[in-house]
Amino acid sequence: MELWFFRGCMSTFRERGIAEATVEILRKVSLPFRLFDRETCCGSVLFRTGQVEEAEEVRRRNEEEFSRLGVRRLLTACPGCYSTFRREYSLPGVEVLHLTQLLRGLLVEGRLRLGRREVKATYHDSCHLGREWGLYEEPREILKSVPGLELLEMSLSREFSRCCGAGGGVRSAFRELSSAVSRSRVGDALEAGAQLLVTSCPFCYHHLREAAEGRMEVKDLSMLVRELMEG
Amino acid sequence: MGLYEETGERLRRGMEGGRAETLKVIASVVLSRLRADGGRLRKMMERYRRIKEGAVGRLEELVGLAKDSLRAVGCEVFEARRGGEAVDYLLKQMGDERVVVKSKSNTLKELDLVERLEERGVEVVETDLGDRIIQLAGEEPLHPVGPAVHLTLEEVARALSREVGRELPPDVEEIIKASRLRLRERILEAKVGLTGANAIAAEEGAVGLVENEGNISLITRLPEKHLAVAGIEKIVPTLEDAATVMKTCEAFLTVTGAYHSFIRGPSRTADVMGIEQFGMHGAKEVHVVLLDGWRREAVRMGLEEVLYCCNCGACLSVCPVLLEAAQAFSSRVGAGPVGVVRTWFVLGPEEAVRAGLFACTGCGACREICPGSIDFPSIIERLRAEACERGLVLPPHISVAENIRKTGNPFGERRPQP
Ligand code: SF4
Ligand code: SF4
Repeated sequence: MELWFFRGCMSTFRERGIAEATVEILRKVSLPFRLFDRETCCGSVLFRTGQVEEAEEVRRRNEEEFSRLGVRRLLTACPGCYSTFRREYSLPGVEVLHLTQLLRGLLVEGRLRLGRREVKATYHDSCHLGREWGLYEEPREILKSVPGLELLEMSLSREFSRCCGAGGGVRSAFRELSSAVSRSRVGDALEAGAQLLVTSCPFCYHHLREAAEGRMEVKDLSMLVRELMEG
Repeated sequence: MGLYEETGERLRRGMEGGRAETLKVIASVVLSRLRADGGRLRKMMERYRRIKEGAVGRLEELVGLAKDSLRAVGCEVFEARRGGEAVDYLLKQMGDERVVVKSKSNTLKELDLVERLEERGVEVVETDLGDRIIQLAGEEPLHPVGPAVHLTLEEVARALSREVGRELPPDVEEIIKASRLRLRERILEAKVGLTGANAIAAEEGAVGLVENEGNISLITRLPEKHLAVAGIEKIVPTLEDAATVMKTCEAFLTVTGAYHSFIRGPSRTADVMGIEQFGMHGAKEVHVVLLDGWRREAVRMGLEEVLYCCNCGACLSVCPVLLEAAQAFSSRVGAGPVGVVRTWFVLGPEEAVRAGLFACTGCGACREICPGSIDFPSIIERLRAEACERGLVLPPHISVAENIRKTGNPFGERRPQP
């Protein structure tokens, strides 16, 4: 079934590296995919901030577009889009996938092999992926498959993970508060003894990298996978 | 200053207070305890949630049953539709008394009862040590479990010295000893004891109370009159259910060695010639106020999950926003997610915005740790929608919506060529 990759606003306008990495990974594993000519925001931020009417408007627009194009398999690298498609959208017969799920599938099938990287890394659970949909293991399995990578857990991880502080419209409304949360999160990662903080969310990545201020390396999983892909 | 700017300012001040550090310490203690025996607590959460779901599902029936059973064991029961009615009733019960000894209760906070009593010249003596320290120091409580833990030993000694009538050294044991003696005097002198309730057993007619200090045991026994105020969501079907609720609340408060009491009416004896008399060792009168306030409205709005809260405060220990902004993410009726929701109902939408309705990231950490698994991200989203309908949407969020309308993305930028 044809795979449609929804890039999402964050990876289109602010963190293009994530969309590019995803595209390159798909090409490398020879998974045919299609991109949307004109993407409209999934509306996550509108739903989260209570702007229901506006949110419903984009939801309808996207639902129509997906059905017009005959989308049956929808891939996203953004947990915000992922969660919104699954929770708020009505997409009967459409399989919604987050990149980590796809990558894990490829890993299990032996189609994804990652090269060596000697590093102490830790994984930051995006709230929409972890607590919302229970996708805790997928990204960790991928990280564990990297030879030389030592995966450390922060004291606040998985279900008790500390939010990066960007979500729910907080970054746009209360930047200082939002940044304070992300600095604490980077602190959690440093305290765990990690040199590399990996997440699988463009918004978390954007926000945490800014907070790290060069104190540690921050990467979205897609970027790390692209760098380490073999063959 | 607009509401938005004011909220931002409040949050900024909350971040500067330095209290967030203390909260982080409490948080790590709570989390490590929860992790230590996660399995047992998971099971407890499930049982707790089932009981609350069932009870709130048959709220009206249980309110009726509780009223009958409480009356049958000799309690006076007053049903208050609105907070004001509850306050009036309680003031009436105070009569001419000038002192009341009180325990910790969120429901009493909701009624703003302390203010109301003080306006009438009644002295309210907090009997929980932490609350008493806060009261005497004129401070704001930090956390329900440790309201005064952010104060230094010297500050505590200073706050209590005047009350005990001598200079207290900054020594924990000395402070406890002196406070214990002084509080006993105050409790013996008072004719009225004021408490909340952790649970009400509808079938048996019992008021359940959990505590760790023993102050509640004293103030419900020694004064002649015991006034208990309970939101109707505290009602559960049986004494066994109430015990489970209390056990769960205790576990999530992570307070150990607590006393669990059930009060079924006034103290009584018939030992003199078989003539029944009230008020032997305990209270002579027990009044139970069952408060609706906003609870039925929450149910009508489909937000009944809020009523599964037992005020354990566990959510406060994991909320990333509270951990940075401390009390700024709260109002006088409560802190954190449940505080914000309560603020909405008790003080209104604008106050809820001020308390941080839009400061929550929707991360769901509170839901994960809450014994009632209350889905706060959804509830808060719903209230945000209600706020937006009332024109309380924040300016930066309006811009985002405008950008999306105009350009299809929140940044309002033209799409780069792929
Ligand atoms: S969902 Fe909101 S209230 Fe709950 S823990 Fe996260 S930020 Fe705090
Ligand atoms: S909302 Fe849940 S975790 Fe928070 S105080 Fe209430 S019962 Fe406890």
